[in-house]
Amino acid sequence: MLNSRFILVRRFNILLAILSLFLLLIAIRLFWLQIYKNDFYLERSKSNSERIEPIKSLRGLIFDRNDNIVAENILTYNLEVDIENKSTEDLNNIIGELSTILSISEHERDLFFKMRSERKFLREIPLKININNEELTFFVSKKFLFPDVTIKEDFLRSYPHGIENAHLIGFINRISKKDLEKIENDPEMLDAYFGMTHIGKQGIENSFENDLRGKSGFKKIRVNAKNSFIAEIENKKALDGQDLILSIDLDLQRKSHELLKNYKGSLIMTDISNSEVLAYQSNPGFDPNLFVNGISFAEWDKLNLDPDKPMLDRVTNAVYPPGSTIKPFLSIAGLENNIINEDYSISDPGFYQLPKTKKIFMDWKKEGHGNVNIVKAIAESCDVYFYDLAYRLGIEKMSDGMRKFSFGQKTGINLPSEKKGILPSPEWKLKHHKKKWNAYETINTSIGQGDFLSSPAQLVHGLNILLNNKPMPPLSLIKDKFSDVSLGIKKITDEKYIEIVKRGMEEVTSSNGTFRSIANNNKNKIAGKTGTAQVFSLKNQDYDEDNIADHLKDHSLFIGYAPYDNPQVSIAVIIENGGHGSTVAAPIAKKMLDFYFETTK
Amino acid sequence: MNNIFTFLFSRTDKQLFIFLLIILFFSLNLIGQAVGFDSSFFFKQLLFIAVGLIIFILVSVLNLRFLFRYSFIIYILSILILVLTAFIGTEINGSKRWLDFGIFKLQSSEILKLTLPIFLVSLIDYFKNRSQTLTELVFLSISFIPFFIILNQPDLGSGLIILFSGLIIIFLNGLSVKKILIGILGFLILLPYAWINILKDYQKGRILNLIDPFSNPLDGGYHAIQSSIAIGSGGLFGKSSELSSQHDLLFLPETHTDFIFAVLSENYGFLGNIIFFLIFFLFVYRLIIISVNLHSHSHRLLAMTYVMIFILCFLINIAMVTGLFPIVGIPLPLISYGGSSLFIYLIMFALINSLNYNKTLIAD
Repeated sequence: MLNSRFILVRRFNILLAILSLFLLLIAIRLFWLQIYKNDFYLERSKSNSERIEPIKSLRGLIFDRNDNIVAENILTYNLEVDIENKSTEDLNNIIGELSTILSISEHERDLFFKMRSERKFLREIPLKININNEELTFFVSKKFLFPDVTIKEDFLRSYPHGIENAHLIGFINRISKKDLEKIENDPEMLDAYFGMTHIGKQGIENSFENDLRGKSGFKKIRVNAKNSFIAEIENKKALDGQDLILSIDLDLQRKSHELLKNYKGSLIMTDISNSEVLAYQSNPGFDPNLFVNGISFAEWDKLNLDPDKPMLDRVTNAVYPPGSTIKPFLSIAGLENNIINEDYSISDPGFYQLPKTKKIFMDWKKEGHGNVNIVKAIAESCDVYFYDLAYRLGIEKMSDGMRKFSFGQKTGINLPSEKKGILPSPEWKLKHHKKKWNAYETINTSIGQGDFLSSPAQLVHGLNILLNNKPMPPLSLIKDKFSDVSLGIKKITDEKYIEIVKRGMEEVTSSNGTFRSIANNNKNKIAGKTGTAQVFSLKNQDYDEDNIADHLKDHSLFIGYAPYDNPQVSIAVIIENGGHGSTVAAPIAKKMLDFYFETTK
Repeated sequence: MNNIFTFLFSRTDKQLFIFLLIILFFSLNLIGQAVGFDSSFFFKQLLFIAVGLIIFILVSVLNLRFLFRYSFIIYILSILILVLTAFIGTEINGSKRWLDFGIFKLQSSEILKLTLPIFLVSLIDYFKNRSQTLTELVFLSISFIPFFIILNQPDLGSGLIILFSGLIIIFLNGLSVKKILIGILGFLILLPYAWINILKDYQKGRILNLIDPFSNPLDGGYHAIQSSIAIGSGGLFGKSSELSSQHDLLFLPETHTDFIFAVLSENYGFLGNIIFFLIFFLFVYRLIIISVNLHSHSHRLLAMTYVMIFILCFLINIAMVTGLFPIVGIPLPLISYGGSSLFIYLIMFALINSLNYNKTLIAD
């Protein structure tokens, strides 16, 4: 029996030895975890229980110059879904179950998944925005069924006057993939946008994004594995966005919208003394509220495929041949260079022959204007007078003279993608068309045709420079921005030249001028210049306004100001395919100016 | 009264008892840290320990002759309890392992840890004059019956422990080297079959998670990762209470049961673990000394088997918690929260204690 005890104890020892090796292995493992990799696991243990929650900043409000609200934030309740560690299938199940108690549209579902795929820093994604009280109470009663769905208070951007300010104010929209790339490349932006869902996409909402947005904060909290709150570690408050007080007048906006309603075109009205924009209107327009939480495909297609381009801002983002509206500016260049003077006059037979060629340029008035001096040339918009002026002045001096009035340059208005237009010159042509300048192009340029393109904003800015006879600050959308800034003291030109041109523009609304229809009805002393810009050059055909397709009709333009003895406000109007400047654009400008003086007095 | 205590304690190995008390104190402390000293789990465990110690003392007084005499009936009863569990057991997380007695749930497979070795050892004398191979085959068959029942609960871990207790007895009883090699070969051949036909997907998953826990961080790998974080963040001296987050914040679930070792590692660090091992080592050492010095072959065999099961479960649990072993649901002996496991181990040690006291009465 001693033998069996010996075997037993030996076998027992073998097992003990094997288990000792096992123990050694465990000891090594513990050493590895606790000593060697301690830092690594300590870090992971901390990050395990810390969670950073964004605190959104409140977007700044936008007011008009009379403190009327233009863009506001409305308190809403949103349903948000916690997406962390959930597959598309899980989320579809959650949404499926939710839709048994609330209506969730296909569009809402699409937006939810789009945002999920694009926003990797967001943990909770809104599914249903702005649920009503009934839905809210109903959901709350069933909340226990949806542990991953929460009700979040949020602010919805709203534009109470919608379409009336659509192009000017623009809108905010959900942050897109493209925006994200930009944000993620800039650490400061990344901080500012932490947890934010929206960004200014167009208009003032876009160009003043940095002021309006503010800076989001965050809350660092400790949570347990069930994500329940344990304690707050750090709290960095959000910096709310700044409010904007615009120079715009909502009454003028409403009026201008009304006046342009039946046209394709735009209007801009400014305070001559300080470049502040008072009215800014483009038509057709759109309802900016549609965009705030993602526009549906159907609505987007409708806007995007509309041949009238309702999304286009026709004040600064569209350029047109300015036509005869440039004549006052060209006159200044002629006077400065002593090509003409107050007394200089020509005899207009109704056409102009380019010297040393057989090229004939017609006046808009076939029978001619007779004896024409500078004032009459502006008042009646005599083409031949300016053909002659331009020919003798030469294109170089002409474009140099025009440049002072901001043609071919941006006005500097703080709006996205302002177009600078084209001020033709030999250098410009060589650069862009690789061709030499032809003498006849000088003639075309003199009546704002050919390659000449400018925006309505540019025209009004140029007019302000002319009326002030000094360089003006950029067109401003903010009230009182330049009130304390002493404007340029250097004069553009001799004051007497300005006076001559202004007299011409006054005559426009006299019984001989192109806008004589108001000659007896001009209590607000409106002066200006009409323009008619050819869209299509007819070869060997007469222009017959009644029998031409709408889109080939001339653009109707008008620039003007009032009162002419003490200019206060200026205006530029363009109506696409509206025909003569005097028949469409000028009457709109007149109604607008009358309305201004009626309401501000 | 005084005499009764003197009588009871005179039958108890003093060293063994003291180490046991220290370990149980450890257990209470860790459970308190895991779930809170004011938690019902803590008070229940306090109650379990008190009852367990009474059972320990009472069983220590038992004369074990009747145990061996009725070992067959005890075995059959144990199997019946397993079968009963399959029918009226409480189902938790998809497996039926428990019989509900209101105040506590009995994990029926634990009973077999105790009774299977008793039955097998009692058969040794009966098979004394039979062929060795026959004895071994009979032992193997007897061990496989509870193994299969437990496997179907399903509880692979406990089943394997029961099977192992049978194999340990066969091995200790002098299984020849040739047969050991045949056994290992057979196991290797059966392994692919077992992988395909016996293991359930979640069990395979647990084994695969062991290889790469981060591949599936939220499902199968979650426990392994969180447990590694808890242990690893403990460092040399343990985390300060301010930082001790893994179990407090519930990232590591079931800390008071299977993952209690992670609480120890997180709060007391590597040094705490070493001290813990040392106490266990002293306790086990005392058990080994007692076992080796028992006077009868079958008593020694029984005691050694119990000691082996104890060490094995201890190491498997820690290997599992430290990520060396698949998660098989084996609690840490004497430390993890729970009555069944605690009572079974205390009865084991009481039996060893009793054999030790009575050894002078039984000559080889």
